[in-house]
Amino acid sequence: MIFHLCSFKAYPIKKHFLFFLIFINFLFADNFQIYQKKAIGQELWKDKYWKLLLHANGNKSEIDSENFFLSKNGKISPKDELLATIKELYNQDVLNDDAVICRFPARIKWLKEKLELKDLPKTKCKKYTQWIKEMDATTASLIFSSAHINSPASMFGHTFIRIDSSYKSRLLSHAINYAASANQDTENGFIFAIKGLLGGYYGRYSLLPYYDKLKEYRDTEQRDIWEYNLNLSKNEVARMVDHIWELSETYSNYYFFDENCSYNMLWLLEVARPSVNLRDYFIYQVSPPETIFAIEKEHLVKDKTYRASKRTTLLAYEKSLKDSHIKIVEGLSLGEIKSDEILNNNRIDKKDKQLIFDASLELSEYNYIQRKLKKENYLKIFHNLSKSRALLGKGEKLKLKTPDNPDQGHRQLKISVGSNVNTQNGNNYYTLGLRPTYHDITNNDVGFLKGTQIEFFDSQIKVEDTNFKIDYFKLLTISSIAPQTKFFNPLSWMTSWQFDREGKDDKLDFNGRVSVGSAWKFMEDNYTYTMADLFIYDKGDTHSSLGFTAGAVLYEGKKYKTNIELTYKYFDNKESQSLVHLTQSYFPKQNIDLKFKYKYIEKFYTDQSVIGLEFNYFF
Amino acid sequence: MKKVLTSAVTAIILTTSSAFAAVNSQTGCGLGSQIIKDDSSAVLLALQATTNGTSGNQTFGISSGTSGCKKTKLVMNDKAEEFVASNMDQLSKEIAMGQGEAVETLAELLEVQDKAEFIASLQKNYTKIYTSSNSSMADVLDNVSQL
Repeated sequence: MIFHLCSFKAYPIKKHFLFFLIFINFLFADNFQIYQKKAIGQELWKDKYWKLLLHANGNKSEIDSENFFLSKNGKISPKDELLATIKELYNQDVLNDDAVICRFPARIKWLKEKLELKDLPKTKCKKYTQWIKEMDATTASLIFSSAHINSPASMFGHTFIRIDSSYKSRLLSHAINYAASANQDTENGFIFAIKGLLGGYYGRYSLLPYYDKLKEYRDTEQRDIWEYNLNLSKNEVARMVDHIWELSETYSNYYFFDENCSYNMLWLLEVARPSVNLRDYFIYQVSPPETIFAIEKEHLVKDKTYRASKRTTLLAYEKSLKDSHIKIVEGLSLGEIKSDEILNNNRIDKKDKQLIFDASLELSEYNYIQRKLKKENYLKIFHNLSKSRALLGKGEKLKLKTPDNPDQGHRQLKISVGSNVNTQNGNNYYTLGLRPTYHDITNNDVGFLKGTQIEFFDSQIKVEDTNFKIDYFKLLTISSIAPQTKFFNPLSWMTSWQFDREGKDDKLDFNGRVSVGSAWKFMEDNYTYTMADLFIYDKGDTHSSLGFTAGAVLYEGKKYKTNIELTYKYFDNKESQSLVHLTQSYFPKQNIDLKFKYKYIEKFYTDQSVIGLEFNYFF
Repeated sequence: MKKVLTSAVTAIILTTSSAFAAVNSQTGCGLGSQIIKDDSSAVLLALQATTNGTSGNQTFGISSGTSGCKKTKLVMNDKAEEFVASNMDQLSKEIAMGQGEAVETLAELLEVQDKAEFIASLQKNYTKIYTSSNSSMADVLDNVSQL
């Protein structure tokens, strides 16, 4: 108690109030020791729920900020933290929102139940109570924002949790998000990535209205959104919300591959329903799509909804609009055609006019977000379009096809075995492959954005008789083949950094590639592409080559896919080389990929021509 | 022990002072409140996107706030003000089209009984609601309530 007296000296508190506090502390002092003993007897700190509340993997908490712990050993000792929580609860010297009972509502509610705590401090937690009232939590959803075009790296997606309220409109829900706090505007992208891999940033939870999150992902980044509405009960959600409050202003070191945005959502879901073991599904990394597979396996999903990105919406307008109206929409959205001209045009019927103005509004907003329109211009155009559109009455709802859900896509890790014949010499060899992550353009597109590819550390071993050798080792490959559409003219590009044996000799060489070009869609799901390539080598007298690549992808009924790619290279030592790759894939199941492959590679002496069969399994 | 608790207390003071404050710097209370794509990030998009969800805006703000906005003449509920301030463009578009999720949300926030009639009337009166391209949240809400 002397400790408390000393610490109180610093506060200008009236004498009688001070005595009152001391008196309270005396009253509670016994209590806390009794409860501590009880907790020790029950070994309560070993309880999974307590560790979940501390974000402790084993005994060590992943949270790195001091303000999350009441014991100075709290980060490494769930026991010390538990005993300290009981002690500080009763020995509090603050009777407002900073009191332990207000600061850690989830901990205290659980301890109260387990230890049958009595005489809890009657602190009014004004801010917490107001916050809970505002949150008005009823249900929760896991939100997955999928890839955005031209950035295949975003294929890993992003997940956050939405806390729904008793409002019918989901726009009024709140999003709890975990992200690294780094300023992308001032940080160099490369350093940013490296620091992120090594935990050089702090990750923090944040809370925002869901409509703001939609603006960010659906509108600005053009990413389709998938909502997985969870079957959590009101109590389970309340527990999670209490815990979210405990996490405000805390931070942890952020690791892009494991302790990332998705992983940190898993803690919240497990706090809501401690009987699920979501974190156990992940061995070496957590990618957002894998989170979805995990919540489905743990039967957490009630239903799913889809929200089209601005880009997807515009693509749907492209389909609905008559060809001759596309130019009108483009003109209107940039202010090159006056609204009145179209409004008063008798040759366009009312339905078409509605559609034209709907699409123009959407496109002008898109142009503004993409900085193709200055704000002053945009405001004028957008307001004029709105005025004209309002005169045309209610139209039909835009027809939007729901794409395949990401939960129908293949898993992340791939193993493969192949049997091959070199048609020149009749030699037979086998291949064994492992790809930790994630997708290439010969894989099934179900659940993925078409034309995207990202692979890390894809590797293959070649087994010929009893000889093992590395066939290739790819550090990183990325492709973004984005076909031209009526409204959008994106660039397509590829890059790869790998060791392979596709040079003119048969040695394992390192090469880097950067290609840029264009792609065109034909007959719904098929596309062709052409690219100019730059290759960089690390070998003898060859340092670089320029190349030209043409390819096509045919995709039929989600079961078959044909990919053919031709490349011609001119080396800086005046040599040249042509390469042909043909892959015919068959997808009998979600995670099985059977391939017939043919490759022709021009070599110094005997050209290489190989046919092979390959079995791929994803898990 | 005391020190740890003090740091926790300080942190809570920080939290609570920001918890209900305006956090969305993009909200301008008027049209054009979308988040504009950052040019510099486009170049390094590939690298940066692997990093999954980064943001400089890390708060526990429960609302998008309306602190920088002109006040409505009529007494309005805070939620409606925040929603309209943050969704000026979406609402303008949906009112003009006579349908959409944002306009339904506005009807719910204003506790309108007959939503269909309300939305149709908004469309008919678009020019009275968004009187100019500089209309602000306060104008829109005041105009809506005077229909």
